[in-house]
Amino acid sequence: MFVRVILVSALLVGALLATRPATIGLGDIIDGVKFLRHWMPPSSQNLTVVLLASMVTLSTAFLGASVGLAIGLPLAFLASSRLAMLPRPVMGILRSTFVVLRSIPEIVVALILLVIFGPGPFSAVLAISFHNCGVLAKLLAERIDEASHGTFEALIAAGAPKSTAATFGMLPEIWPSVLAQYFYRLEVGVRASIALGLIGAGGIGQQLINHFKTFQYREVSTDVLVIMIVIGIVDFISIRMQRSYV
Amino acid sequence: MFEERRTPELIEAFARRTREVVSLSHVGVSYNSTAGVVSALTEVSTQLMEGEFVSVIGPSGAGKSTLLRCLNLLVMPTTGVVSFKGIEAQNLRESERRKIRRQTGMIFQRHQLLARFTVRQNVLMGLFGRYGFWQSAFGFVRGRFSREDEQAVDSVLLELGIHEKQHVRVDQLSGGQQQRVAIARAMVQSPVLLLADEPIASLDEGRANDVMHKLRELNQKGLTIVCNLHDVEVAKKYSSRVIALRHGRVLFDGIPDALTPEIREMVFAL
Repeated sequence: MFVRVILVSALLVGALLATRPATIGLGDIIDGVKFLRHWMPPSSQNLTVVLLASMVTLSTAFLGASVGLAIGLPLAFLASSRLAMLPRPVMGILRSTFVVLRSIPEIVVALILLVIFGPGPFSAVLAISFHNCGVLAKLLAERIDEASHGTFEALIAAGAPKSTAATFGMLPEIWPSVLAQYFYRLEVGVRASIALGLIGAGGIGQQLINHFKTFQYREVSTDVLVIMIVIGIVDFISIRMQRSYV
Repeated sequence: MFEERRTPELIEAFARRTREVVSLSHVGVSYNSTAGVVSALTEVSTQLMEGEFVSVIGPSGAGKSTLLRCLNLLVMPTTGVVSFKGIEAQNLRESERRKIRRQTGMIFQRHQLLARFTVRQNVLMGLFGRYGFWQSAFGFVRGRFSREDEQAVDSVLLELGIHEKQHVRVDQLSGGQQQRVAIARAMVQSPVLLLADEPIASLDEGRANDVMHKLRELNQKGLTIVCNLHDVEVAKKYSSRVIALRHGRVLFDGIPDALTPEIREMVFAL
């Protein structure tokens, strides 16, 4: 136990040293506060453009989460060790594929896709879908393995094919988790889409970086406010949808 | 020549053969576990005949559930032979085993129903063995199957006295009513064999009697029933035959009256 505490403490100290700030002092903090004064009050001049851009960001996140789920959910069923719908070696390969999909950052995929498809949100949709597919497939496969298999077994006992038993006997069991994961990935997708906007994938992220680079800090604060509102709306819809399925 | 060979013994054997639903011959089932190889069933041989009500009794871990799962081919034996209506199951493909499972209804201790779905939707799922995936999905989403299947559902719901509850969510029913829904889901398959795995274990006495009466009614109409029970008195009251298991072996197989206190002691001894 003592050795573990020492090891974790050493890791924490190492991480803090690796991420220490380049400069820090009272003057720097005062400069930061002065810089923020330029952001106030938020500008309403380009509000329509910002709102339209936020819709692009939201659409990118929505498509990214939906396509990720549409591909990831069937893969989760195939990768579940308890449902055993595939031979073990194939299942192992599938699970390794999820690791690959999850381990490549969205920004790397987007940078490659931007070369192929050119600037715009389409590359962001594909990059987010790609990542979500791996994340959702892994998380939902684990959920399937943990869930009650009673109804699945009852349908198998009635002579139903495994695909039918999985869809009707297992999917309703894990549906609350599917909804929770989907909305969480949608929320993450909004932030990812903003980050991808910084490298040319459109949406409010692109607006934000353009305003920042041209010193339009009041527009930047409007962008940030709209981003916060969009994430708040996604969170609100997520809670309502999950409550409706009880 | 054929006339010469038709002895009374052969006629009797043929008659038995045609009445036989499932037979197990020297069946053994073993699992690999972290503790090594575990034998769930050892050298089990028995025949189930049409119209029998067989209760399987035994302490926890005796192999009762494994025996039931062998009967509908959910578990395939490691050794020995399972025959369903004279067809040996060992060499069948999965699609052929599914055909056999369609003729075998199964009910469970915890009902295994979908709580958020209605009674009717749960019962309709008993028919999914007859359809492919897309037919099941399309029928379920549309909320309608073939006229014959809808009539079959209505018929079992009426028979089990839950027709007026057909549009009620299953989680709004009592435990006894939920077990009736589970029986309805099995009955809609028009099975030749009904397997019940501890169907009254989680019910109070009144609801347990209600479920057992219903099973007896179905048996009196000709359905073969195999029922795992932990209560020996209930087994003796409702069954035409009792099989007692201990450590995966058959210790007793006979009429309920032949189950003496000495045999009970042997079966349930700690």
